[in-house]
Amino acid sequence: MLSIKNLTASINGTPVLKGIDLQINAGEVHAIMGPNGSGKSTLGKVLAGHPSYEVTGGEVLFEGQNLFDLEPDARARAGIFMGFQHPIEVPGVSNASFLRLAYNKKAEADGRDELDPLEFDDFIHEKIKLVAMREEFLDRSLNEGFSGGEKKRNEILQMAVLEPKLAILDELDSGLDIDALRVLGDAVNRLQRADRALLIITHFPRILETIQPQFVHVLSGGRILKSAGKELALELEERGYDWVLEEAAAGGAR
Amino acid sequence: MSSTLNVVTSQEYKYGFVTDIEADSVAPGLSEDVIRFISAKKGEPDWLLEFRLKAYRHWLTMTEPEWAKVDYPRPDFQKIVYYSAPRAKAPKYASMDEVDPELKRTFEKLGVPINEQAALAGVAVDVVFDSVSVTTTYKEKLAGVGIIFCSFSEAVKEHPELIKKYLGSVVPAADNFYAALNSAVFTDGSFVFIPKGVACPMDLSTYFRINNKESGQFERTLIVAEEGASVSYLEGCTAPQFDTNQLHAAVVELVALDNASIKYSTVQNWYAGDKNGVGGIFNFVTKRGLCKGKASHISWTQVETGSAITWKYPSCILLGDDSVGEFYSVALTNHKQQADTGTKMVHIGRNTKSTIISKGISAGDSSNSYRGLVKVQPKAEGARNFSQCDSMLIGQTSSASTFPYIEVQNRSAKVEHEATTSKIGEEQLFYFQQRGIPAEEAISMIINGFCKDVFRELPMEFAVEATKLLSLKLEGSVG
Amino acid sequence: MSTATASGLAQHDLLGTLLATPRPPEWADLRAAAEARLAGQGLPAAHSEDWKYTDLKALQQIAFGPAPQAKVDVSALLLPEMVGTRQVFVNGHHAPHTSCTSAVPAGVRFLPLSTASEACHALGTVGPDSASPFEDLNSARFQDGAVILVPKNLKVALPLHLLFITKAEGPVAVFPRLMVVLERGAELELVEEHHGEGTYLTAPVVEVRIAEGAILRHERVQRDDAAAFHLGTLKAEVAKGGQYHSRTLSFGARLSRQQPWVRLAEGAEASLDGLALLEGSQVADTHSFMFHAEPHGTSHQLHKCIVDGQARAIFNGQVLVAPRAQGTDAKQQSRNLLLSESARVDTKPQLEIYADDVKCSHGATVGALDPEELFYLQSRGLNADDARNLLTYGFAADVLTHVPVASLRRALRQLVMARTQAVSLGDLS
Repeated sequence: MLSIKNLTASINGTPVLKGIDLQINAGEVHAIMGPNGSGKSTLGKVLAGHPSYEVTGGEVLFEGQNLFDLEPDARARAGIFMGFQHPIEVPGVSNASFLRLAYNKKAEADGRDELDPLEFDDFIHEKIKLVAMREEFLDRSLNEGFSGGEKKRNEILQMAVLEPKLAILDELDSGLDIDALRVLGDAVNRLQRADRALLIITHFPRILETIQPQFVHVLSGGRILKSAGKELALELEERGYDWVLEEAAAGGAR
Repeated sequence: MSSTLNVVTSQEYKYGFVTDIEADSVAPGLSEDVIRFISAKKGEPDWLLEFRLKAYRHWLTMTEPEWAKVDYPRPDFQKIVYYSAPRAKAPKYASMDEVDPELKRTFEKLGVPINEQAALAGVAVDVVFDSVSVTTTYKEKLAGVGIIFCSFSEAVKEHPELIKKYLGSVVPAADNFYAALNSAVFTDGSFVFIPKGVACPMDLSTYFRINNKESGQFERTLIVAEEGASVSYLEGCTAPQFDTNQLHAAVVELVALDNASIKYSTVQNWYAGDKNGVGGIFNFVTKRGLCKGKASHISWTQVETGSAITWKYPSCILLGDDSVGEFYSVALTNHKQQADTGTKMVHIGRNTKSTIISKGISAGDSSNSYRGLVKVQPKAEGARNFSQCDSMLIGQTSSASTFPYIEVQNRSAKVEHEATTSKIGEEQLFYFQQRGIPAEEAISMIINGFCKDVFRELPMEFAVEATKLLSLKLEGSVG
Repeated sequence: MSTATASGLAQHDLLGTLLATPRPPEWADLRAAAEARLAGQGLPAAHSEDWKYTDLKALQQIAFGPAPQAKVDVSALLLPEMVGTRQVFVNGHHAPHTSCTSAVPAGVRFLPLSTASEACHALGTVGPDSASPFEDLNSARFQDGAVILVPKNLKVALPLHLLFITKAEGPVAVFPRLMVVLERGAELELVEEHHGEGTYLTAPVVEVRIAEGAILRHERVQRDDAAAFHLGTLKAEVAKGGQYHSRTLSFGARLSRQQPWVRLAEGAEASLDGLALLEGSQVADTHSFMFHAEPHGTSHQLHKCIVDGQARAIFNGQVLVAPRAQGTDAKQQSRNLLLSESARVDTKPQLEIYADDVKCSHGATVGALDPEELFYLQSRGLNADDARNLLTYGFAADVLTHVPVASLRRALRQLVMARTQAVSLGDLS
């Protein structure tokens, strides 16, 4: 589904990604882990097309198509969803109308019928149960005055609404308490399907107890230093990141 | 960095065509003779000619206001045509059939219904072309409930006592430079009179069009709502695209007696000049409402998107006890446009209340200023004001300013003012795009969210129109 | 004052009279430039936008002469934290016998202008040439003043105390002058007080230059005589990452005007807080200018006025964000409390923004005490007067909370309690 080859990217002229290779297939759950400043959030933003980052080299194919040919919104309609670490607030635009617009844009692109406000109302009321969101949040302005946890809940709600092929979840666990984390983790698990892939970006292994990845990659200094199965996450939890960095340094000098 | 937020060009101005209409015009220039000519042409009574001449003589002693944050070449008042009317057999068309077909086509192109059959259900329209009223719809139906809705010239002839009583009673002829000029040379406009106890059964609307290249537009609107009467009035404006500037100096006076209510909505889309600031309308307008009676209510709503220069402060004089004044404004500037707009709320009566909601959006190289005065006079026991003035910047070369003047001389007053400035950020746009919404639609959605508090004050059709207009104006503001 | 209008006192040529006094020999260029500007512009016209609400007529009805040297007893004004770090100026002249600088740390220069050679090249260099004619008047005729210079990375532990005292037998004009320079990484707390007796005009000028990463906390107390005129100018330039925090507390003078001007370089921080407590027919005007010239500056302004009697408070606060000052964060609040029938407030907060990536807000409120709050206090057993006084005191004391010098904070609180009739309520601090 997603094939990343020797991807390099920089922000304001400073290289952040220094050659990333990664292959993600449908049905897979990948976790990108790494210390702060390792470049893992950058990877998510570059895939989604954030304008602050400049792709300086490499190639990313999404279902065979060159991702960098697409504007961010076209990528989203093609099926890439990014759950933001810090979702932004938009005063005056109601959450429900935003969700409906996004849904209809996707439906239009997929050649499905758009939903009118009444139909969408029924549709969304089903969806909010999944993330245990209170109805009043639909009528409030998009993310405005939401707590950290409510914003994350809203991100997963959007994922449920947009039904992406690839969902990139950036630091889903930041700002969440244990209970909320479990609710959202379960929701993500229920949303996972054979034709969908997940890329979980996280600093802490905790979330991976709920959303279990088949593949864990450690990213540091803009490169993937180590890739392994889910047991790597447990090892990182016990031992921290330093040993991976040391191991890479020792075996390194590629 | 700013690949997505890069101001390129805006939508071509869609009302920029010129209509080839034979017009009766006077030679450019202003003098007592020109004023006498206008007055004679319109068959005015002597007192009105005197009103004009007095205003003109005072105007000669005045200088153009310099305090607004706008910068433009001073108009040469001797180069302006002060009278230009579509030539017709009769001074006023007796029926639709008599209207010049070219003129009819013009208004069809503008989407203005001047044919009653095709008209928007429930909106009566007065059409003013280069300051001359060409037609008014639904007149008879309105007359049935005692409402007068006609051109200003017609009102001078048919209802001189009302005009004499109210003309200049809210905006005195010598009020300011442009009001004085208007008082001297106004050619036409609309007059509305809602008698005691009548709620106007439909929205009234005037559509203004400047067509002549050298002409100025100096219309005059007077709306009087008697005790317990109410009316909603809409105003729309466009002008063709010329590479010279045209002057628009209108005066609007509203009078609300006891328990009367007047709601005045404007969507202003005069030609704004091109993206290099060549051409466009100088919009210097004096609008003021007098809440004369107890518990009277005047509400201004404006969506200002056009004009090269806007200088406009629709105001309320809250004289009657318990009267209410409101001002809801969206002002959008792009390219080289400059707007200095806001309101004055003068609290004189007891327990008077006012609300000001102003949303300024600056894009391109434009300059957008809010200027407002809230004045609480010593006897205005219990006066209340709330003001919220927000600015949004799109692009790095525009500017936004807020100049609120607050003068309070009564301790029981409560005045609150808040202002914020923010921008449409790349992060906001990116978030929308990430959810599959294209940048242009994202901007339009964010802007409409930003302006929601004002749009919901507009009548339905106007709100839809205004929303579309803002999107059009900003089209191309992101690349 | 009523006699003045009734008898139609003659207008004096204020500038002419004052400029007729001999020009002191030092700083000739500075003085000449100021005089040239005064000759060109004169005093502000009554209808000029900048002086729209502040009438200078009363000032022009008095013939002010030069202020002679005088002796005063400052014992009541001493503050325990600063007994050894004070400079006193009386009628614009340095008063060496009442000053004491024994505790000023080595390296810090805290001197009268007349003895400080460093000041020569620095004076008159901060900010725009002239913010007001009264600044020019000061430049043209100041006798002496203070210079403070804190060297690189020195964090001065003790606050410095500056007392400007005016003692007028007949109407006199004094021109206090102050120059504060903080070198890179220096830190200082400064208390500047103005006191006086009699009818006089004081037109102080303060210049502040803060180098990279330096921090100045500046407390300013104006307790001039009720018959005095205080027309002050303050100009501060804050370099990259520097901080300037000032608080101006105005209690005295029949007419006072404060004109602070602050320029922020990249990442600099400034706060300009103010409190004016007015009664009788006092007029207090604050015209501030916060200039965000470079990116990522932060400014904060809280200006409060409590207006009683026929007094009048004026606030005009301008925030200017230059095109390159992206990332600016500016907040401004003007809060006004009207206590009497004839009190009056004119406030005009202004934002002028030329950069798009900014967070700027301002707010203004004018009104009486909140009936809900009064009711709440009454429901807890306070009588109506006590409830009113307590709320009024609280409104003012809010500004004093962060005054760093404990004895000064106490003294100011007591002053505020006395002025808000809150003394009977016991210790409120």
